Amino acid sequence: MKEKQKYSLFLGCIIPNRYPFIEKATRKVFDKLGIDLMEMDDASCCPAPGVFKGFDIESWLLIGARNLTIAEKNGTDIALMCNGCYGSLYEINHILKTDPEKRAIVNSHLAKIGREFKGTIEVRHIIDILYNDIGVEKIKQRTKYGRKEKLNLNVAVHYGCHLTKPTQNRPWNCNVEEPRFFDELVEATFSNSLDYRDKNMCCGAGGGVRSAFKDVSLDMTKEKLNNMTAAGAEAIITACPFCHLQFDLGQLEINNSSKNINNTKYNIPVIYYTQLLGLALGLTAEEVGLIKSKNLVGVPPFISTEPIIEKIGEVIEG
Amino acid sequence: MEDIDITMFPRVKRIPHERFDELIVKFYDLEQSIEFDRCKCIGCGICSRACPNQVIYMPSTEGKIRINREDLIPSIPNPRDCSFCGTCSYLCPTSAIWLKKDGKYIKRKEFKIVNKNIVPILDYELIELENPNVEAKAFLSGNVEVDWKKCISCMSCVNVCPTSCFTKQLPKNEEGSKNKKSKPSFNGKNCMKCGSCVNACSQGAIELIIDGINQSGKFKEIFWNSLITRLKSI
Amino acid sequence: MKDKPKVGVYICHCGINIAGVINVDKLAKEAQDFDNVVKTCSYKFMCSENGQKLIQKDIKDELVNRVVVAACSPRMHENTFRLTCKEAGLNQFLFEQANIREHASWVNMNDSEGAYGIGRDHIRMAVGKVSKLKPLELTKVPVEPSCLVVGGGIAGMNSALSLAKEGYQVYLVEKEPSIGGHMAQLDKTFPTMDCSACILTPKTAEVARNENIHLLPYSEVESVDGYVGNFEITIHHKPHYIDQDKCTGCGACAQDCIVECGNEFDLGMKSRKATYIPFPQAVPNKYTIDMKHCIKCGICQEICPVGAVNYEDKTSYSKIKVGTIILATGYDIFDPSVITQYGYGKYENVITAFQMERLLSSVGPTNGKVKRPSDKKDPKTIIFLQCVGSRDFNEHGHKYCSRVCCMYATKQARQYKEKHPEARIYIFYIDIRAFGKGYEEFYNRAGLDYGITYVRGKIAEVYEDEDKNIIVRGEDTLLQRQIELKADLFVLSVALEPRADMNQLTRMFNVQKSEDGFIMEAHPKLGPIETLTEGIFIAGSVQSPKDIPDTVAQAKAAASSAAGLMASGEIEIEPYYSTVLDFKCSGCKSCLSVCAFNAITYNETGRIAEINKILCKGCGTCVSACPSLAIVQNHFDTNQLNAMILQAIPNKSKIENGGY
Repeated sequence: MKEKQKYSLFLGCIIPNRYPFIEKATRKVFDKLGIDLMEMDDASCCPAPGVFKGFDIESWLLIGARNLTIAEKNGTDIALMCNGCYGSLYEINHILKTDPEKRAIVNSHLAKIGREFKGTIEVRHIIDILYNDIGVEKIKQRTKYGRKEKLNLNVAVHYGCHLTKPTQNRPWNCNVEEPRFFDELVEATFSNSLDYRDKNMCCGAGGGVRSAFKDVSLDMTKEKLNNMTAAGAEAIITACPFCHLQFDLGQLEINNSSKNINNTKYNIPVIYYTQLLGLALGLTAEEVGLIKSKNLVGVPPFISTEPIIEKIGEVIEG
Repeated sequence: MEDIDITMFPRVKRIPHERFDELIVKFYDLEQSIEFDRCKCIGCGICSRACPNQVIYMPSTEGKIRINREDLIPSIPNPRDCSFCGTCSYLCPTSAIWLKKDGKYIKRKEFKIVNKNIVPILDYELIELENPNVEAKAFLSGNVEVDWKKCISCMSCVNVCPTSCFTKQLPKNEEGSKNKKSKPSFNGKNCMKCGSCVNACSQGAIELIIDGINQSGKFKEIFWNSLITRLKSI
Repeated sequence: MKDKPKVGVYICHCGINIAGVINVDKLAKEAQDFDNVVKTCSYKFMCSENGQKLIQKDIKDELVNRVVVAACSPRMHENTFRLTCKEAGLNQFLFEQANIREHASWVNMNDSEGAYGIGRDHIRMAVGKVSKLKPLELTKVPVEPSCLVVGGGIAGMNSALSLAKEGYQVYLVEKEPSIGGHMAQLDKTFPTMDCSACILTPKTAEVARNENIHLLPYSEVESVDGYVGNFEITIHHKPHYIDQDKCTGCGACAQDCIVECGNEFDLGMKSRKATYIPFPQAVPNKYTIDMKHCIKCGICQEICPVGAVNYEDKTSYSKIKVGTIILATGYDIFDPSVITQYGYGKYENVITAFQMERLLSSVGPTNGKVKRPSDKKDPKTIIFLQCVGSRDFNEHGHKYCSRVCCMYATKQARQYKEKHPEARIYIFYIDIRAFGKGYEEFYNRAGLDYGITYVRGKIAEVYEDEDKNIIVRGEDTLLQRQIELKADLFVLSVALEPRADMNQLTRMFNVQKSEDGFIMEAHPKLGPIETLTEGIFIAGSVQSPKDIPDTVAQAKAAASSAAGLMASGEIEIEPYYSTVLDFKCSGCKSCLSVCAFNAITYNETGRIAEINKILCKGCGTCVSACPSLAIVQNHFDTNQLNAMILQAIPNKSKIENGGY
């Protein structure tokens, strides 16, 4: 019998603290696909590739290395769901594997807490695992709409930044100016991935911009929302919880902002990829965390996902 | 509008209309287009056989059993190879193919192959068809022969025959229980020798032998004789 | 007569290339103890005149009768030292060169001891071999005083004319129906803004007139056999379907032809008839029928006043014998649709510079008025993007610089500005390369006098608005800000790339490609005309992208080199060939099948194999294939090679005592 694939699931900060249903959806989907996701005890912030790395590289390497050693103890590769964590942990892993001097410095600190970076594991984004290991064809076979017509849900796919860059350290064999791999994964769930202006643009959140220059970050988000709306998007599909937050909470913030002179109300539901995939694989909207109890306030999703659920429900019923 | 290929010139575009697809080949100084009317096409394949440069392709029916008229609509995979001579349009029995130059339809009598007497005048009989509901020009003479041993009763010939020469046999039992193995019957009285049945038969059980084409007037032997040879090679 | 070998070992410092890593004086001292060595010394540059004199003195003094030079690769200076020996009176094949530069010092720059060891072994092996070498003589073969020029563009034509003037017969093979090449498609040429046709057509006319040039249009080389001085070429002639001798070029056939299809000369932008002349000034000025589109209606056949039309025409072949070959097949144009973000193939108003060139041409699809594809309006703003496909380290691109794009973009911009002074033209560049004579001045005027705006930065994103205008986003790196512009027409300055059939070409002529896909020259600095195959020369963009002045210069140089080879009427072939010892040959024919050069034939009467010493390239395959050990090879004989092996093994005594 083929051995089940195992990964250590790295949660990062936003998912456990603010968007827990992303982890839920991912776990359910990977369960269906036959992949084990182990816990990483005592994992901390990755640390963030913009803010932390910008302050002190050695601390950044050290904290990241500590997280990596947890997975090394588990004996499995890391699977993660956030572009920022991907950017940090992938690069830290790569630097420590190839630069013996930095590795020595980091290990000298880790020794104080009884850990050692050995360089035995790889860091993988779940998009990487789904695209390169499982493959679009296999996903298409497994999705529930295989025998039905296209779902015809028009979605705007948002790649984000660290997912595709720096290009030489990424497992995508594609033209990075116009990547297609995430679109292909989304279209395997029989949604239609739209082409919109400035598709590769940043959401505005990362690099400390959201914290320090909220207005600027929301301006960038607004630009993306305008372009997505102009193309006719019914939902935004993300691969990063920070982008997800920026689009989700961000729409609310833009709608309520004092600068909103035209009083435009944005209302595009934001769906994380494994939620969409889960629906396509036959999970219910509750199982993937798309439904929010009526009496809960101040928790995501801030933009209601109900219109989407209705539409998908119609197609499921046939 | 779908741009098929605008990297090279001439640029090739496809405009889908309700009844037909328009294939445009666009130079800077000239625009030529060809339209295949899906509703009028009977799937005979005369256009494909007649085309002097074999640019028109009939779709492959390999592996298909229940073939309909829609499965036999021809296409041009490489529009840049088309010479826009008008042979296909001239010979199409149901006038399902039209040519346009710079946006204007070319009338059949304006085709150079016609007014330079490259092709003779076709003497045809006008037949009213039911399926599709159009008028057809019957100008071929010949025989249809069926090898009933090969027939598997798929009824594709019944589906496609424009003059209903192939018909489903009535069930012998009055109660209407279907005799699944009953083969269609063939009555060649109204047969227009189009050849759709040959294209549709999944088992290759039908043969059409064309022995003549009703024509009159001048024509260029070098073109017309080779065209007749191609037409007969069904 | 066997004379005892007296070996002289001369070690070259090669400046610091060898001496910087290997202790050459110590090596010279150690070499004294090698078998048969009577003299060793070292010198800074053995290949220099003084270095050579050292060797010659020892030969003339009868101190040495075998010479080993330990220096660079024999590919560099084997010939030099051979001539040194010959001039001093020693048979030039009693010389061996030990490569202690490429094989020892250069590859072990940080390991002096290791390099020393390898160098010492190489010298010892060379000494072992040279002691067993036999004197050999060069074979002289006659050279055909004729040349095959492949490609009838500006390079091929210039080579052909230069050779014809010297009295040689030239066969000019061109695969299109007319000569002229890419240059015929250009409108004006930089920096003089000469009309391309004006300077090209006198050449084409001259080529057609010249008695020594046999023009073979619409033909391609099918196979190449033979060797330098005696190439046997098979050429296939594509069927014109119109008798070229009868055709007068009157054009009656084209006038009445009913088919309209794409004109390749205009890159498909303009239509032409199925029977056509590629362009009005074509040479030869005769018609051809494009059978792919011809419907054989018979009209042209009827109308031709001289009855030249023949639909039954077939491919024909001819065989010629030439002494030298010049390859001048030119370049292809990069297809930018692989770089999807520029929108070529997606947006209608994105075109390549070559398509722009045809639009600017007065005999082009729009008679010289540039009209943009979507609505045929005159563009008011044009943006050029440089380095599309050039200087591109991605998989789809070429790493090299295509050399002419900066200049042709400037030229096209100036041309358009002359007709439309109010138009705004932007050229986005990485560097402007205006390297040639008059180029910098040309570029300078474009900016100052014509008001063309040069923006230093690449374009990142391209999209179109509802009116099919092209919007580009780039970075102005000099002003350090982003720039977004709207253009009516977006022109991509695409790269010049090697011909698509380069693999076929190199295999057929047995020449090599360099890393960038163009044909490899013998030496990038000192041998840009020759290839590594003797007798075959290259000219023009087949070697690397270049502008017209450099192409013409190279073409004339290639002709001069070819003439140099043919001038003496004979050339010397090196004597590395193999010979069959007839008393040992059993007639098994094993060697025939392994010879890659078709040099071995079977003599039916004598029932033995025979090797043609001219065709034989001395590869040695037959020597090892022969089960009867009946084949011996000059200069690489078994006992000579065994001597090298024995010298390479450190502890010889074990072998000599039957140890191994």
